[in-house]
Amino acid sequence: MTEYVIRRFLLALVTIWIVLTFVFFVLRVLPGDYAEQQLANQFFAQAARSEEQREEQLADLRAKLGTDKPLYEQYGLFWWDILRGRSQESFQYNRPSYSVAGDALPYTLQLGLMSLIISVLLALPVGVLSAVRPDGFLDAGLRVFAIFFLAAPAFLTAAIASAYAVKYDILTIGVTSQQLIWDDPWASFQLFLVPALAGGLAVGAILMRFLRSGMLEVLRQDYVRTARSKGLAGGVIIARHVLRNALIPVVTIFGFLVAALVAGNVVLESMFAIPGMGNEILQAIRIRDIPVTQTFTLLLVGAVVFVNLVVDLSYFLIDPRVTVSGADA
Amino acid sequence: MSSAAAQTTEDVFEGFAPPADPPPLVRYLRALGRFFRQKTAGGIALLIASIILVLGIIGPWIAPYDKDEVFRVDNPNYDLSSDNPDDWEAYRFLTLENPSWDHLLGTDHLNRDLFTRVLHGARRSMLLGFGAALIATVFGAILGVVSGYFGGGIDLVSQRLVDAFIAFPPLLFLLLLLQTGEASLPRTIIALSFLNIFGVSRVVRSATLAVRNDVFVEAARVMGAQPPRIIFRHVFPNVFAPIIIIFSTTIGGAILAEATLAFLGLAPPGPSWGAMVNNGRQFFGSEPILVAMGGGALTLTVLAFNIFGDALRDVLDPRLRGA
Repeated sequence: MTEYVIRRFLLALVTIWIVLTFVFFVLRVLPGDYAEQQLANQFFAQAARSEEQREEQLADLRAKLGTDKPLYEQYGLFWWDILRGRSQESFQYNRPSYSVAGDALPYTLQLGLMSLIISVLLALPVGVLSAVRPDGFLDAGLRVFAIFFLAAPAFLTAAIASAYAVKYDILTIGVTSQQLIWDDPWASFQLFLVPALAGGLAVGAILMRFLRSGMLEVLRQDYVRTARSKGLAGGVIIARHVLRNALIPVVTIFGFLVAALVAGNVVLESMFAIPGMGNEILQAIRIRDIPVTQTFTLLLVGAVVFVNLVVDLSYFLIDPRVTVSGADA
Repeated sequence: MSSAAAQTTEDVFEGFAPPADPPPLVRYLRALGRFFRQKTAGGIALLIASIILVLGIIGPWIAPYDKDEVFRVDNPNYDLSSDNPDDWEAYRFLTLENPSWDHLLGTDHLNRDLFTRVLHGARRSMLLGFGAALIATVFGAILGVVSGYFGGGIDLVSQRLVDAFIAFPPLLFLLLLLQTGEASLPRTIIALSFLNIFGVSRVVRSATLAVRNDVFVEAARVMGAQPPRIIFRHVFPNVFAPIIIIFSTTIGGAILAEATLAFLGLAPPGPSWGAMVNNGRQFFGSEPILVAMGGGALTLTVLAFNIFGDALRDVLDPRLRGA
């Protein structure tokens, strides 16, 4: 068991290493760098300079950013910084990228958690209801609902929902500031409600379908028939025997859900101008802010890999039938 | 057996002979008919998806106008000396008009015909969806079969790559790949297919693992067949169902991913359903036509491909339900 945990942990580290190495080299292969973009922005100053002056300035700026060093040296520095728990300075903000991440993280967490809560609140009753009477009227309707929100992209739902919210004065969204839940709970709730609803519907639809098929699977099991023949009430069977066992496979896709939320957040944050991690990394990739892109990738991928690891290890706690040899990948 | 003997056998069983195998076309049509009867929703979805595919192929040719043509109408009351300010303009642009006989789906925010733009968008979505799904399925299937069949070092390395790229947020992956140069259609297709290769290979690998130690593969191995022959003659035909299924489900995902990119303004220029939603967003309260058409076409298409993929999975391989 201990050996299995250690092996899984090492494999998780390898996964993170591959992703970060990939991002490191892609960022340096991309045409155009931060220094060039900065100089290109100073249009009038540039027009007055000669070609040589421009080259010199470019070299100065690159030396300041540290992107003129040979690749292997940059790669070494990159890992040395990660190992000693420090981060390189962001090109655009002139402060460590961990501190940039620290500012953005609460927004992403709030949006992600609100989406997750909405999706669970939606999926749990709906999944149970549609599995209790499969192929009934309610089940058919709810399945259509779930399939529809699997197909309709979150940005479409969000665009329509926000337009109606504004049209009918349902929400009064302050455009000047992005409030977090502990700054001003009500304003923050209103601001995050539409994106969280759109994200929650998209993820909830996945969860709903998964829960339904899990419930149907469990309902066929012998122990459910035993419970029925004992004369247990239907509600008790569903709550005690079926739902609890159907939730086990749901846990397996939890890592996938977190990844889906992270990805969804990129679009929704940029749409609603929420200064979260998705929005920041989008901008960082566009303007080639290498340290921010790398640090945020580390954090996002680290989170997904970590959740997956915890999920895999938690099988042993949730389901005593699972053994190490059976879980061998 | 001599020809004379064959003659006699045929003579003896004349009248009792089993009906000859129908030609392939009839067999395919029968299978299709069975699919429609078993899975009504899947059949309807297949019909819609086929119509959209055909529209995607012929759409730009049957489109009534040019995709960039701008429409305006002359003002019949044009009179600069009039007191009414409305009469001072020589013509009026057709901006975000509702559907009419001239413009079947209305016009967009830049006064262009929406029906034409939706048809052009269909071609792009089909090209991206099928192109990305095809490339991803071919390479993913090869990767999956090889790593599943041989196991060992190849499997270890490829599985780590799969783990890594599945953990990577897909949109960021796309963004990075698209930043390697100007956003063009081939580049977007390659980026989208690269994104899906790993998911495909995981499914195909697990199907291959199930087949690898089956008796018929064992028998082929005992008879001295080499790995390439075993893979092509015995493993591939038996993992073909999951490959077809994953191909059909990847199409919808790729179309959705392109729409998301277009919505963020990162897709190549040209008519795109995702871009329509983005452009129409600000007018949605008063003139919902642009969002309705772009979003409607997008949702209908993805819905059709998803439902068809689900039905296909239920018919071909019930074990994969929920995968």
